[in-house]
Amino acid sequence: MANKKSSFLIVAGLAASVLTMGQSLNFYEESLPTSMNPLYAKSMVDTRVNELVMDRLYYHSPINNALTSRLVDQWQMSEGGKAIKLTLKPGIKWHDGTPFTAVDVCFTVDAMLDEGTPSPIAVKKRAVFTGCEVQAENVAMVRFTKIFHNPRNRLGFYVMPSHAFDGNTAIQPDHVFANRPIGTGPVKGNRGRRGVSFSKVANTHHSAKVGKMSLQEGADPLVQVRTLQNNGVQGIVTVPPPYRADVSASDELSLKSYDLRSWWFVAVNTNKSHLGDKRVRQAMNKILDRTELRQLSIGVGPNEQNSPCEFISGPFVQSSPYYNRGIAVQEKSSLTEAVALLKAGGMRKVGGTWHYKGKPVSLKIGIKASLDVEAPDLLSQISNQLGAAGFQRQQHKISTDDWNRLVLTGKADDFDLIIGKWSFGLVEDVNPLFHTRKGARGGLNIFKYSSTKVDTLLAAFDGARTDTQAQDAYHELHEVLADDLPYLFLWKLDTKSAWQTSVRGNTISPYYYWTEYDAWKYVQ
Amino acid sequence: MGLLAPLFLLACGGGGDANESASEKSLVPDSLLQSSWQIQVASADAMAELAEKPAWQAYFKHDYSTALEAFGTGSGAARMHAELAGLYRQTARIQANAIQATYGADQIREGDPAEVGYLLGVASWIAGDSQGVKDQMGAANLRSSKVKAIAEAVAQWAVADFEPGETGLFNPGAVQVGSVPDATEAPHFLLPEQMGEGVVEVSDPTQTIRLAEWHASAALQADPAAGRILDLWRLDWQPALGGESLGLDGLFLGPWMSDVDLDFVRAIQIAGVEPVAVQDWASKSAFAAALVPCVTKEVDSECVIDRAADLQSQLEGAMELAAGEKTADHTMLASHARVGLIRTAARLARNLQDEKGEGLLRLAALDASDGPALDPLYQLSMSAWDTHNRNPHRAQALLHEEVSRAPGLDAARYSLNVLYLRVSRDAGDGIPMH
Repeated sequence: MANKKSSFLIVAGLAASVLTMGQSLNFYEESLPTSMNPLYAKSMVDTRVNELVMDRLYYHSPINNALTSRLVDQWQMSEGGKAIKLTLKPGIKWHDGTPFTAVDVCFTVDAMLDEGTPSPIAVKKRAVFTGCEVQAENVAMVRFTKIFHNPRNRLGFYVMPSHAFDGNTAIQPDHVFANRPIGTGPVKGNRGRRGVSFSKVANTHHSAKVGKMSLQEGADPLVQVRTLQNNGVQGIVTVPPPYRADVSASDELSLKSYDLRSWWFVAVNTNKSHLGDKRVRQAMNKILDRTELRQLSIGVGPNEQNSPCEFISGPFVQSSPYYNRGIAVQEKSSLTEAVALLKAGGMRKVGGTWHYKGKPVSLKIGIKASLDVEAPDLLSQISNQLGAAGFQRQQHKISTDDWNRLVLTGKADDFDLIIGKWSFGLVEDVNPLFHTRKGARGGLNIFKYSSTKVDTLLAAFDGARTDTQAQDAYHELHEVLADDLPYLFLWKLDTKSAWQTSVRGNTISPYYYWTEYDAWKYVQ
Repeated sequence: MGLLAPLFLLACGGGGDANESASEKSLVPDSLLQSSWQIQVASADAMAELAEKPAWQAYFKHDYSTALEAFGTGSGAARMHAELAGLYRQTARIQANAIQATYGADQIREGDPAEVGYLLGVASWIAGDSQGVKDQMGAANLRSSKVKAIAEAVAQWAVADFEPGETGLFNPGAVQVGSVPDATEAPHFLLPEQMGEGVVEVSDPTQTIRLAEWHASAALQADPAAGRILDLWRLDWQPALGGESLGLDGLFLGPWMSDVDLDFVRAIQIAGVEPVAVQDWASKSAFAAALVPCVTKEVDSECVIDRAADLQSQLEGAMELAAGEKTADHTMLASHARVGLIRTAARLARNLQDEKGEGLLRLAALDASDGPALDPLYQLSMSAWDTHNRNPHRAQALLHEEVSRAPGLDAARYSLNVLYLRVSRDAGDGIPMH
């Protein structure tokens, strides 16, 4: 218990602890952010950085879930419930000293409504807002497309500075803002080649206590944990399960829960001729021995209680109301069934290797590089299992840049299988993952999977008038996807962070992480 | 190697000088620690005696039904039944909070099933609002509902003068100490929405209430002293029972170090929002003594977290001194006290109506509840708290981890599902992130 100080000194206020105002608080992230423009956030790293630099108009307290705002002083419904009048708090400034006003709120709404802003996040908002009117320097009237229940919940977007874009509402992803954002959040951020540095900004609505902070990209998890133990960094956002016991055992470190709905998958390129037959995909699903994969890469035994890793059979975590409990998970491999399915799907085994139309099948398998850190060797283990079943393989780790540039845009055609993870907040909208890529739809459909039946169900979800209709649509979707298998669904994996106990007040907000950053302290 | 593997990792070095270690910290007077269960089991022999018992092996894994079967009767069985009663009561609170947060006056939507009035009535009973029960269940549309099960349930409640235990609904049968009654598979009702052709799956908390009271009765039959534990998890309006000590059986592997600490927590629970004078307890309860400097009109969560770690450290030293050596179990056993202190402070914050302090301490206790110190009772109480705050996200995750602890707990899943769907769809849009 080397960290603990005499309780009597603490009581007397004489403890030698000091806030380390000058010293930087360093932490490891899964990767560097790809964009610090909240309209173009693609990863959870992007989302977390946004929460540091920007302010959402409204947010839920991570402590008691109360809906609140740091920017809005008063609100009033108007126009029969189809508009909300927002009176802003006085004295708030952007990081460059420019006053924050209603112009910025309306600029943000207008930017999201501008068809020239090619942001998937903005596209979603076009079904919510019709416009925004500046009624006074501190008064904005935001108008909705219809009357919503609990309408302030719809105002959880980050407010952007009009002046940083010269009022041009067609915001582009390559704007300099993506690397050097101007926000009203507790810190300003500056992305370099090897990390992001943050420094606190005095403001009327924020009072950060940590002066400087530095985000570094984590690599080898063992190195991360050792560096944390040696106080080379003070925190790790994502600690892989095999290393959590090490963290727990230390009096200097604490594990912190980070509520996130994340599930892992292997996307299958259904457009490859040898993977086009669903029986082949079903065979692969039966080849994977998830119990073994979980043990080898996550370190969870077959019957372990309170496992951080739980198998799934569809695109939702098991605790979700959208999860269809009628669909069983494939825990163990079933090679006999797999062989029968492969043969039925047109495969022939020659010399121990599966062939399709006379040629050996070689699977190009990729994984987002940062995931191979979180689930060490998952790529190799999946590859080994497929290899043992008779497939030739090539393994590739995909950088975050290539992930954004190729995988998310549906241009990773040369891959057969891609291992990934999706994370969700309160809204578990999987439509972008499985809808046919068409216009604004299917924007995250990795291998351009297309199914009329799936599209119909996704439309039913989108158009659901009641909660039950939405749930029914996704239950059926789960069933269809578990049969058609554009993804081989693996598991949900709990996320835990580790922080030095010298970092105090560090409440971690579900999904957004840094919402209560003002309360964080670094005490020596 | 027994099932309580960590408990058998005894006396494997790491010792050092026990006197030196014990005198390192004095957060609370050492005398207050001497009555703790941790000191009682500090020696390898004392620990082994308990660890060899199948009942404690099962309890270590929170396998209540196996533990009950192994205990059979007596104080150990009383403890298990009392905790099961607590699990069901927390589950009932999850259901009631979810029903209120989904269908309460400010949340009900056009198209919601007409029969939700029945659910609101049961939720009112759980909240202790007897008039609310009658008002909700008295609605004419319920008695004439096309959903026969609802019409019958309403009639049963009315005949029983709105006491669920007097209805014929979900009767778990005669109380039998040492056993666990089965439960009807949820959902119990399919309610047609008034808009479209959708059907909402809902579960009736009446079953959960009845199972809770069944186990409460079993606990008291096994040993009347179980009332002290039942008091810790009673619904706010239920009368306090009290009782003598259950001895080590009432404390072992639990969050409360001693009977006095348990009494302190019990006093906070019974007091509701009438402030409890912590100072008055400080001379007899280690928990109270540890918390005194952290409590003003609010509870300083950072102070509590520090002192909980210090308490664990001091207790480990005291255990080493008592055992004459340090064993591999001491840290794990002492961690229960650390979690227990934080949980006690969270209750105290609630007592002081310090909402923020309560929230911070609840989260801290959740983070600290690792391994054997993870307590299903706390997990479900946290889920109920989250549900009250319309935060179904974590509530569902917590419930999901605990639903297999006892039959029928999964009923709350349906209540949470409808809340989650409502809150999630109200939140609007969101896109998956990699």
